[in-house]
Formats: sequence, structure tokens, C-alpha cells
Amino acid sequence: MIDAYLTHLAILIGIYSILAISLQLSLGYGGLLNLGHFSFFGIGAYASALLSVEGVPFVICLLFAGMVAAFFGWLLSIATNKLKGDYSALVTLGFSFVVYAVLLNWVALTNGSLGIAGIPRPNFLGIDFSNNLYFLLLVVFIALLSYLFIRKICSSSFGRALESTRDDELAAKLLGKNTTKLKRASLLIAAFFAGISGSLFAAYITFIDPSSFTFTNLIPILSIVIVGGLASLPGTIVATVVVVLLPEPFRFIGFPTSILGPIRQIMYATILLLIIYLKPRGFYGKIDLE
Amino acid sequence: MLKIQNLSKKFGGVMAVDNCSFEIETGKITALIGPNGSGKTTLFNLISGIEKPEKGTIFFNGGDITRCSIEQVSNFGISRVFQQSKLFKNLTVRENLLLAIDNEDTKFWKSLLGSNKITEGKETKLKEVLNELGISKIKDKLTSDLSFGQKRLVELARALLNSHHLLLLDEPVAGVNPKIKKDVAKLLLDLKKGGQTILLIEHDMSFTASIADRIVVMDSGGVIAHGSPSEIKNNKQVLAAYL
Amino acid sequence: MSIFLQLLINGVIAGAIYALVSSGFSLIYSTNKFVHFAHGGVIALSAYFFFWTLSNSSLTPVVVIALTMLFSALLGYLLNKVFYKPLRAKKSSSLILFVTSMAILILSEALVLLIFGANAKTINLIKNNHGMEIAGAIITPLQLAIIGTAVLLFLGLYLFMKKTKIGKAMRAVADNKEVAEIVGISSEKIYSWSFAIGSAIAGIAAILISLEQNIEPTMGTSLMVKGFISAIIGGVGSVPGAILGSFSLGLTENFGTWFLPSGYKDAIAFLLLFVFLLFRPQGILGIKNKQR
Repeated sequence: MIDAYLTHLAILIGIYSILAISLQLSLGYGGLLNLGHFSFFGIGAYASALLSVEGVPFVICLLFAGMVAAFFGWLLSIATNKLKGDYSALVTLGFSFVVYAVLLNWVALTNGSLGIAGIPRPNFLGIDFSNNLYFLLLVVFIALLSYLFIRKICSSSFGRALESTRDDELAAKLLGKNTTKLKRASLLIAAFFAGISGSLFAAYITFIDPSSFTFTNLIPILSIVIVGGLASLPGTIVATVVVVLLPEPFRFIGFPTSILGPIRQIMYATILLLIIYLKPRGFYGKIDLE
Repeated sequence: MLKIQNLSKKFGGVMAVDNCSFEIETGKITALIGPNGSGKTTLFNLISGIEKPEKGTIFFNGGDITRCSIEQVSNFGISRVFQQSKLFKNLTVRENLLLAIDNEDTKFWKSLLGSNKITEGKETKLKEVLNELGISKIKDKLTSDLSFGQKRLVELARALLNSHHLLLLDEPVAGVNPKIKKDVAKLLLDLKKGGQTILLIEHDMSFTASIADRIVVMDSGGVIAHGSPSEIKNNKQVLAAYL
Repeated sequence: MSIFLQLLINGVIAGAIYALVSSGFSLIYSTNKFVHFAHGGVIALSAYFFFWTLSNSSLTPVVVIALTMLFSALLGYLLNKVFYKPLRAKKSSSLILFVTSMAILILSEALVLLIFGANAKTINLIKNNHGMEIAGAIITPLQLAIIGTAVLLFLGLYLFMKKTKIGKAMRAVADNKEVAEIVGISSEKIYSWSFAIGSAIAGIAAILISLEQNIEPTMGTSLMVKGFISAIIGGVGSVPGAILGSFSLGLTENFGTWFLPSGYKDAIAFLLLFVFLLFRPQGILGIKNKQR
């Protein structure tokens, strides 16, 4: 019983850590406050779910999810390209509303508010991932790959160029950097990994509906990135563990789910506020939130 | 080398740069002076491609760069230092300078697969500039932790390392202590000896007179005088503009 | 013809409601220059305050309405003092203030959910709210009152901004904070005023909306989303722009249902938002600005 519960939490931590490090890439390194990041997660989940209920193998669904999300990341980068600061954040927020509205209303494709049920668990290489322990291993493996890939980007000269754009875009342009290209690439990659984590989420939960992808869901992910500290990848992982586990004790006190939901929201919002006021560098951050 | 022709730029109803024309020569230090609001920084912004003029043309090395983007202007070989700090504040001095040398770092796969190495030649050049400006001791510090004078020097170093034919300096010694001021004056003269072309904005007249070959005087967006420091000192129009 | 008229009326009603939300939001944005998303939270909390006071006290409705406006103005004032002022003192960017306001919105929504529960509440203050027929289209007295109040409110707001000392100072700060400070206007004082006045408008919006529709915990977010879309369409930071944007949004949404099922109403709104974000991010009345 306890094992099953811990496995469940570990799987969630794995999925959210992919989502959080991808947000870290675009926010911490690229400097784009992407409030639509959770939509890439949703797009990935839907893209993957729609294929897998048709019997398409999981690996293809996973990659397809990443690519569809990346495509939308590219679209979003066109809209945010010329804009700065809070204006580009507003655009990303608007983007999340648009995605939600489409998921809800394009019934022919997404089945509307009823959502998609019966998403199959992966089954390949002779392994049936309906077993949660195996699924956990799959999640850990993909999370590790994603982490290493994003770390490689951040420590490369491309990452340095990206950071220069974050600190001062005009100065980067004056050194001849094509900042449009840098920002587009970072958003595209971030969206790709968010899509991948969405695909894992859909395959794990086996049921998705639009309400799981509203913009309020971004708050815990944003909290993770900010608690861990901007431009710190190990910090992001530690923060994912902390933020996912933090509301769990309330489950044991015996609160009903109707109360658990708001309590969780209150916790995340409070964490976010506390960090902003008391520790704007987060716990392991290299740079200040400002 | 750089030729400004009938350049005009309006902000709201005000002519910030008004039918401005002059030319600067290769291998010389040209100083741009004039009262506050006379359009000097706007002119720099027009050259860098940050602002676009309503009228007129900018020629650089024979080519028309009037409508070029900021990146293109930089890649054609114009390097610039701003009046206020434009360093990447969360990066170290070395990283700031590497960004100026490395022009392949926006190539994603190349830099990811590690084939975008900083060559030894570039590494040597970096060291040279660090030594020349006396900032090698602080090369691993974050630029946000530097003093004002150090920031100015790093900025100068970064502009020097960014490959260029022309250096634009917007008040490079404003607010720094006399020692750094002297060092910078010597450095600029050394750079000139090395064949560099420099266009600078400066308020400190004695500093300007000591290093500039030519002086261009601007007032209310237009050029009112143009000549050697001694010619400018005796120009009545210039005296009138300043009084 | 009557369908056209009905859609027109529905569009104007929706527009008036959005305008009540977006005008206060834009007023705050114009001086403070950051996105106060918690404005939606102020509306939701005010609506619940109105509901609770009405059902748990013997005060007359007029007094409760006055109290609600006072409550919302005070709430906005305090949000600014407690949350935003310390951040401004630390020279935080508008992005951080924006994230803070979102956290406050989520916080207020969750609090309402905890205290009042998830189910919708109805306020039965107006008994005889039967629709009247005008040339084949139906409108209720309350809806007429909403439109009337909105028009009066905007007229009052316009006069306030043009004629009073505070209004002029607010415009000065909105235009250029530095210059305003040079002529002796305290920007902190003007921020407080904008929050109080903008939030009082939110209080009026809360009252009218809670009479017209049911109230529920998520109303703040959904109203804010529409108000925000309106403000973007009209040009963020311009109150007349926000009002214009609101009516454009209300009309477009409703006339859109001529061609599409009504379930697509929200989608139409977002589509409009996207068109503006891509092709005219400065909005209808906004000034083109590279910095944005």
C-alpha cells in the first residue's frame, strides 16, 4: 500500500521535474516569463493521447507529443518575438487561454469537456508498463535524458548566448547576436520537453480533460522554478521534490478532497509569495528575480 | 570610413537630429561634442541601427547601412560602448568577453556538440586585452560585483574584442576617477597608433582636446562646426552654443 | 431583424459587464504600469462580501451596496500597501508584480472556495425582473440598469479624470511618472488613489454582475480574463480603450454565435485576442511602442 503510494509520488515528481526544467530553460536562461508553458504540457498530453488510443506505439506518441508542442512553441515565439517584459508574458497568458478554449470546444477532436478516457499504458520491448514500478523506471529514464540534454544546452556556448539575451537583449544584439533565433530556439526546446512530460502524464493517468490544463496549474510549476532558483538546474529538481511532497501530509490528516484542492492552491500561492518577498534568489539560484 | 548624409530623426514634434552631415576618416579619433540634448546619442543610435531615420543615409566602408538591423551593423564592424552599463550582469567578466569573441554561439547543434571551440588565437587576444586594460585579476568576477570604473573598462574591453573597424564610445570616461581617465586616454591613443578608428562623445573638453584629431560640434540636432581641436576652440559659433 | 437586435442587445450587455471589469483594471495599469491580475480577486471577494452581508444582516440593500464599494476600495488599497509597495521599494520589475498579483488571485479564489464552497450562489434581490420586449428583442430591467450604470460610471470617471485635482495628477503620473514627480506629485499617493478608485469600480462591477448572474469562486478569474482581453484589444493602460475594447469583445462574441454554436463564445474571444496579439499588440487605441 505504502509502496504503491510512494511509487505514485515518485512518478509525479519525475513528470513534473521534466516540466519544471523545461520552464527553467525558457525562464531562467531565456528570460521569458512563459505563463503559457503549462499549455505545452496539455498539448503534449492531448497529442499523445489521441494517437495512443488509436493504437500507435508509445515511443512514437511520445516524440509526436514533443514535436507538436515544439511547433506551438515556434508559433508562440512569433508572437512574443518583438515584445518585451510584461507584454510578452501577457501574450503567453493569452496563449494559454486560447489553448484551453480549443481543447474545450473542438469537440470533434478533443471530445470537449468529457475528455479522453482509456489511454493505454505503454507496452514495448516486451515490458508492460501498466506496472507502476516499471512506469516509474521509464519516467526516471526519460527525466534523466531530458535533464542531461538541457544541462548540456545551458552549459554550452549557446546557453551563454541565451543568458546574454536574458540579461540585456540590446547589448547582445550589439555584439551581433541574432537574439530572435536564440529566443525562438529556447522556446521551441522548452515546449518540446513540456510536451514530452505531458505525454508521460497522459499515459500515466490514462484519462485527461481540459480542466487539468488551465493556467492556474502553472502556479506550482512556477513555484518550483522560483523556489529552486532561476538558472539552477539541480535546484529545480530539489524544489520539484519539495513542492510535490509538501501538501501530501494534509491527505493523512483526513481532509476531504473538496478541501484538499483549495488548501493545495493556497500553499503554492503562499510559497510563491514568500519566495518573492524573502528569498528572491530561491534556494540555489544564480540570479535575482527582478 | 563613416559618412553621414543629411540625416534627420524626429521624436514627437522635436527634431532630435536635423539634416546632419559629416564624415570621419580611417585611423583618426573623432570627437562629437555639443550641449545636452543636441542629438549626439540619438545620432549614435541611428548609426547602431537602434533607431531608424526619417531622412538621410549612413554609409559605412562604402556600403549603405541606414536600414540595417542592430545585429547587421555590428557584424559589418561597428562596435559600441554605451553611456550607461550594458554588461550582462549575471555573467562573469570572462563570459562577457567571450560573448564578444564568439560569433558562432547562436548555432545550436554546433555549440551543443562541442565543435564550437574558442580557438587559441582568440584566447590569446582575450588575454592581451585583459592585460592591456589591467582587468585580468577580476576576470572571474560577476560584472554586477564590479566598481563603476571597472565596469567601464570591461565594457571597453568587450567592445574591443567584438570584431570591428569602427569603435563608437558614448562618454567612456564620464564619472570615472582621474587615474582611469588618464589610462583610457593613453589606451585610446595606443589604439589609434594600432590603426583603429574611433568616434566618441565626450563632455570633458580637456580630455577631448588631448586625444581627438577632429571635433564635430552639434547643436539642436545639426552640425555647427567641424575641424581640428584648435580650430574649434576659436570658433565663435561654438562658443555661442555653449554660453 | 429581431435576431439582429437581440444579438446587439446581448452584445451591449456583455460589453457593459466587461467594461465594468476592464475600466478599473486599466485605470490601475495606467498609473502603476503593471498587470494587476488580482483585480479579478477583488471582484470575486466583493461579490461574496455583498452576498454574505445581504443574507446575514438586516441592513437595507442601499447600505449594503455602499458597504461593498467601501470594502472593495479598501481591499484594493490594502493589496497595494501590503503586497505591491514593498516590492516597488525593492525596485522589482513589473513582471514580479504581475506574478505576485497572480498568486494573490489564486489565493483569493482558494479562500472563497474554502469558506463558501464550490457551488454557485444566487442573490434574489430584485423580484420583478421580467424581460421587456423592444422591437422583438428581450431585455430585463436589470440589464437596462447595468448598461445605464455603466454609462453613468464612465461619464463620472471621465469628468473625474478631467476636472479634479486627483484625476489630473493620475493622468500626469500615467503619462510620465518622472515629470509628474518633478512638479511635486507623489507617485505613491497616486498609486493608492488608483487602487482605491479602480477597486471601487470593481465593487460596482461585483454588485451588478452578482445580481445578473450567479456568483461562484472562479468568477474572478473568468471575469478578469474577459476584462483583460478587452483591455488588450482596446490598448492596455487606456481607460477609454478598455471600454471600447469591452464593447467590441461583447459584440463580436455575440454576433459570432450567428455563425457558430454558442459554446464557441469563449473561443471567439480568445481568437480575437490572438489576432490582436499577433497583428496589433498595442490595441485599438494604444500607441505603437517598441519597448513593448
